[in-house]
Amino acid sequence: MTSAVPDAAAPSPAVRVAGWSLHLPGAGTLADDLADWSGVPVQRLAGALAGAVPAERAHETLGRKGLLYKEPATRLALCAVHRALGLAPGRVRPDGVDPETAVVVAGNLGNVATVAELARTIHAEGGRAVSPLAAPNASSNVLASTIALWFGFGGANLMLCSGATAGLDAVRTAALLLRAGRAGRVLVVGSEPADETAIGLHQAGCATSQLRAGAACLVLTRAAPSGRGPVLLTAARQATCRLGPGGFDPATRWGDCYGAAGVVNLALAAALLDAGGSGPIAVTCGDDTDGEREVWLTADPGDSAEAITPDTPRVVFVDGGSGAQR
Amino acid sequence: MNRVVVTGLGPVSSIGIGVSAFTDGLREGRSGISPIRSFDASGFPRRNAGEVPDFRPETLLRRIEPTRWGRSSQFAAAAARLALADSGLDPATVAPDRVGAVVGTTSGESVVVETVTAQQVEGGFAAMDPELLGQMAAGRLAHAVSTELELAGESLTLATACSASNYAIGYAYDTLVTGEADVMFAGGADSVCRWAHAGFFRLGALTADACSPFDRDRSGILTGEGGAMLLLETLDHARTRGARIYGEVLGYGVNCDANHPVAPDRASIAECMRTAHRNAAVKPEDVDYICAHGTGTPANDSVEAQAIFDVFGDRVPPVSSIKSMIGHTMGAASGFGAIAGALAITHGFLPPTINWTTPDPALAGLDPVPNTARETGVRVVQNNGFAFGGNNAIVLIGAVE
Repeated sequence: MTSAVPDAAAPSPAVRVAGWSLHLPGAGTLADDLADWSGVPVQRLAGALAGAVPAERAHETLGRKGLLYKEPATRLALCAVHRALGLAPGRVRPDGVDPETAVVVAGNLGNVATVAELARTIHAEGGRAVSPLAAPNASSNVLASTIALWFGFGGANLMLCSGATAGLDAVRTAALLLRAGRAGRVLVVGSEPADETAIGLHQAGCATSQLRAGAACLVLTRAAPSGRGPVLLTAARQATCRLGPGGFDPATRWGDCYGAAGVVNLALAAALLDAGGSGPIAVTCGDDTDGEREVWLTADPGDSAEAITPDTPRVVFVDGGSGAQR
Repeated sequence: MNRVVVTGLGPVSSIGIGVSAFTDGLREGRSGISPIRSFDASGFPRRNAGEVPDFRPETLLRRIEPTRWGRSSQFAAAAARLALADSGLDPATVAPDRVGAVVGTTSGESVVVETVTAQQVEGGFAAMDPELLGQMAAGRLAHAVSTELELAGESLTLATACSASNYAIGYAYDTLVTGEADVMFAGGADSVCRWAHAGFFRLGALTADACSPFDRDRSGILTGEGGAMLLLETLDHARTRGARIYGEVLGYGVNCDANHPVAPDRASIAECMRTAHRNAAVKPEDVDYICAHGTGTPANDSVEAQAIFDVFGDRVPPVSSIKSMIGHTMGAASGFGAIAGALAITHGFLPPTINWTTPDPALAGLDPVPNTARETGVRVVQNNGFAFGGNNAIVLIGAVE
């Protein structure tokens, strides 16, 4: 990256959602549900939730080349980025590497099928039977690095696997990168698969919701006064509505994207504002085990002056109790 | 803008547990490599690793119950407990929500994952031990630290593979610089496990008995394990409480090659060094020592050295790899490098690259501090961390001016 030395004494820039996508295969009914709940006409919402192909048909969005050995969560994540950038269907051939664009991905279960398969192979046939081609997919951060390779993003690159809060943990991390001047643009991506291993693990840990494969992407930038797109707020204020646990929760109405849920919910809030819904919208993710995180999104530029910090309220539940309560 | 300093070190390593033993290990050029004990490696042609067989979590941990946490979480929490003790900080003097933990890892709770997966293979999902499932999430590494030390601030695990500790230190640095916390525990943890061993073996990246970075005949890594945590705090906070200061985190740089899944990229690594130098406001000639990523694979050491040559020209500082002593501890690796760098500044010595016998003509001009620690003044250390996926993260640590 070529960014300057961060200067925390300078006025902190707000963070703008300059673009987004919801890549939730089979989520057409979610638009109807959200329209009923919010009062926003479904015609304005349906487009945001349409056009998401499942992982096995990712080539319809991404083109045919390069998808061999790419796992479902990786394919969904690539689709979400492709669509958030507004690209036409087909393979992207980056001209070079953009050092100003960082990638932060949230997800917990993208690699578990590969890990289980590796262990199964070693167990059954011994270490020599492990395919070297499968090894990169055993790293949980393969999603983030694959996005960087595919689109040519040379900024910071990381993957958060912090459980149910991972999505908004990623948003917070992205805001910190922007605020510290370490990136000019951050692609925040949430993605989870729903294979047998992932579902089994998810149910073993949290049986109240049904894991569902899906991804979402947010294009975050430092807010310029003339920019387009809603702005993140962190100051507590009266929200018009809430997306996520405690409000309209896609996890219970459609399916749980677990580590991607925070990104999904925030992208859904952006879609709702874009469709004419009023803000600020409170966006949450988390559960009783992993803690909760919350952020607010507004389309009103007048609110941006209060968006002074990337930090978002976080309640950490560890060892059965809230950290703040100990 | 706050300055950030290192005031506590917590190494749990194969060459020593605790800062005193680890310092002695670095000075003596001790090898922590031994025959693998944590799993049956008899079927592998490679059977050595940098395990920490002397790790007794119950003797270090005061609050969390070791049996309820996986080995990597135990490493992280024990290392943080050691760092706290080393710092002399009285936790009661800091608001709990102003203290956080950021832990980097490659494989998370790999031993637990392996065990649960074996149960699944044997008897299906119903055979999986629910208690172990609860221990499996990688995000628990940071939660283990938060729970052990009763921290209510940020609690985040970063899975940026083998540069994850430097990412964690960078994240903590930004949090402190921007005034969002007063104290942060940052570093990494990973455990030796069968599937990582198998994976690296099949990639052709494992050497047999001794890891020899920068040697002409280097032939690969040895997997390692441990926990490496640093206590970071703002300079004001440290001075107010009269803390002993090891060094200052001057800044860091991160980037991504966006070029190849596993092969390192010379130009991108060089650019990451320049980014880190800019952020830390140091020039190449200010750097006294580079604690290298230095895995001991032909590819890494060659590319890393070439990138160093590109950035430092004809003034290349000594470059050594502590992986020659402790193996490749994955997500903890650059945390151990940062600890070694802080100790180098404080005690005035360069950790050696052991197992080094033959100069590599392709690396002419590189001084690997062969085999014996060197006494010398050190003011600025560059700590390199690189990872699969082209994740580069470099931290600069300096003596406090």
